[in-house]
Amino acid sequence: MGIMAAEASTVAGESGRMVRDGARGFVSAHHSMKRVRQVRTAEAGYSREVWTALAEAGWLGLRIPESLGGAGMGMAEVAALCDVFGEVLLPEPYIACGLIPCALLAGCANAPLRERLMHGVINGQQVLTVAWQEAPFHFHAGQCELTLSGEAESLRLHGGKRFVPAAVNADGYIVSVMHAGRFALVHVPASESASGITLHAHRLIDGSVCADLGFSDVKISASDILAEGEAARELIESAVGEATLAACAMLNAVADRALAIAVDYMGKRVQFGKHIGSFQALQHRAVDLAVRCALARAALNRALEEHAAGSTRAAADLSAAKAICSRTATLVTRSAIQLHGGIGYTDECDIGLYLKSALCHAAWLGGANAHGTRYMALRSAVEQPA
Amino acid sequence: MSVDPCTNTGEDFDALPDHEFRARFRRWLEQHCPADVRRPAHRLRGQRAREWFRLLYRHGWRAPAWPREHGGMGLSIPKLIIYDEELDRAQISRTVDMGETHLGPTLMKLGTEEQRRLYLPSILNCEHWWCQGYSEPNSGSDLASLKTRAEKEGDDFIINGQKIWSSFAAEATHVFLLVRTSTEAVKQRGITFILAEMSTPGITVKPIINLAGDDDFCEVFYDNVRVPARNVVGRVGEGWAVSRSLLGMERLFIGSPRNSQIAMRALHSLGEVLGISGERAFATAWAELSLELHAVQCLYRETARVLGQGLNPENELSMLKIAATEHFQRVTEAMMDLAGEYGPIGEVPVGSDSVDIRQLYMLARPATIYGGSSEIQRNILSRRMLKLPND
Repeated sequence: MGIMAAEASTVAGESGRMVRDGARGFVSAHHSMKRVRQVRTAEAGYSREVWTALAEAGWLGLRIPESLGGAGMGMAEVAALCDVFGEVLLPEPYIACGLIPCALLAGCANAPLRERLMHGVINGQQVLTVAWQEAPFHFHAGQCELTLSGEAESLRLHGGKRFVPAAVNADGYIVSVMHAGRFALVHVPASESASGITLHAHRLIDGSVCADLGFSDVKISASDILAEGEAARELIESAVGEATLAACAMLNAVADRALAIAVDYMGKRVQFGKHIGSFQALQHRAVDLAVRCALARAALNRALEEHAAGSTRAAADLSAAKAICSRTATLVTRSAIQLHGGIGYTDECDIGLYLKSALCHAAWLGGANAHGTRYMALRSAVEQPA
Repeated sequence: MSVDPCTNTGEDFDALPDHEFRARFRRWLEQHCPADVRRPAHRLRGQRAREWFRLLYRHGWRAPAWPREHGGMGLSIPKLIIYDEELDRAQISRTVDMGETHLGPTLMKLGTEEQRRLYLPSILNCEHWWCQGYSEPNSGSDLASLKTRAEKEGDDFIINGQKIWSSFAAEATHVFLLVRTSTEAVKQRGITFILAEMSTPGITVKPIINLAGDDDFCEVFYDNVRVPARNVVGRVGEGWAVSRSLLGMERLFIGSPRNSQIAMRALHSLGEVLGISGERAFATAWAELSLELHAVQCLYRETARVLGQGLNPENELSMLKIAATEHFQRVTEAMMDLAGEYGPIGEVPVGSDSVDIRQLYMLARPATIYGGSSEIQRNILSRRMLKLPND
């Protein structure tokens, strides 16, 4: 519940509060619920103008070390930021095109490439998105089959990637490949589209857009290889892991806000001469949802804490959090529609937008079932305390 | 004063590093804990419970949450959680000690110097064994409507009435109870918190057989029971507030995921012993319950931490109680469901011990009733947290 969420997210403490206050200021200046409906017809699924403003306000580099031009903050602060973006359903792809590409660039060994791209990404002039997924239900970012063939001057990319977020109108992609039997990450500028990149876009239920990308003998420069081998694998797994934590924060914010909206409505809507919020059946439903929200928030806080500590249970707790937060957000948002009654089923009413956002974030980066299964596989390592 | 000289060696356990504290307690449990105390699905009661607490007491491991000045271990919240985790790891039976968890902390907060001196050491060494007298036949969830009367007569109060659901009253030496000392417009006023010896003439105890087949609960009848006025805790007429003064660890305890963990372990053993752990229905239930348990554990941890900061997360405590007790029930329901014919038969041998499916199933029932039923918690949360209208 939003009531507690603001106070209870103690993980980030003072810096989290500052991030939250700053982000609220940004949101009230650049965003309104009207935009959430407008982006449904925007080709890219978001506004490039707002993206630039987001960059100029410094949010994209929040997690980047100060030495590389960022703010040097941790995942707790990123979660605080996503809390604010989630509660207003900000359509701009902060996680996909801010958090993940920045982490890959900041962590890669190819310094000249980093210098070439980082500035533009943090400034919002270059929008990069990361293409690592090749099949549905696949969320191991460190595994792929797409092959980069050839040697130094004649590198060629051939094959495809799926469900690439915010791929339409992106300036470039960071693509995971197998090169000479080794895992690698390469930068593919989108301007090459004339020479062999095809894009098949999908409009998601929340208005955002993802795309399947096809690469047909796309020429790649050796200088565009970000990282190779185990380092590359660790880099993307870590970046996608952090993105998953951020997605959990979005899901929790969406759920908390949807419940707050429903509770508010229950205090206004009158039937049978009484506020519907005074009916015990509805009160108990609302409380049950608040309990689910509190559990999800606790699961995320735990995952953030273990992540920050680099503990052995971090991976298991991350999967538990994604499974719990995904399930909670979809349950709470669709129940919020029920609490509204008929008006909740209209497009005019904001509550439906929350359900749609929850559905998208729940499915992205591994859904409840996938992460639930992964949690069960990993938890044996967790169960025995030292 | 009858403080056992062996105890309270003066060692400040709270000053130890976490891992060392954990190792020390673990080693002690391994060396000293009797086999019959290591039956997690069973409740240790009566003489055996008192012997176990005395053993803890003699070795300085008694009353972990009590301050050291009162003879406890003075552990901070993180250490208390470790203490609890180690009890759980050693598979110690569940115990109820109302003196330690309820009366002691209440006296520390609101008792007189004399009451503390008289009762606290006797709680620690188990010379006194306390039960609670709150509920009445017509005052359950609506506790403040209680009618058991106490009339002032000289320096005494004369108590008349009936209490119910007093756990282990038949084994108790003392009772702390709520009585009505005046009838006023607001029913919470006019209630007084008072202490009595169970051996006082006029007290009759009648055990109640519950659905698990145990006689934990009792009816207690008070027929002209004379109790000295110095036994009142707090002021006369302010007993409601005295009974509500227990916050923190005592309320955290009721939302502890420990029962769920015990039941989950039993479910796991059942899966192995009955050869059903590979079945889809079992695997599905197991995975779902594991994930939910994880969430409850996270909320427990977080709530404990907030408590440790000296705050009172009353909404979280209520939510935790709902979540933990309902999860405990779901585990026992899955167990009954998955065990097929073995469910109603009950006892399934597991290694040298056994899992009693029926008993766990029934033990889980009252968890959502006592300490403020799940529905009462929801009513409270709907007003206090969600601020939903009353109309």
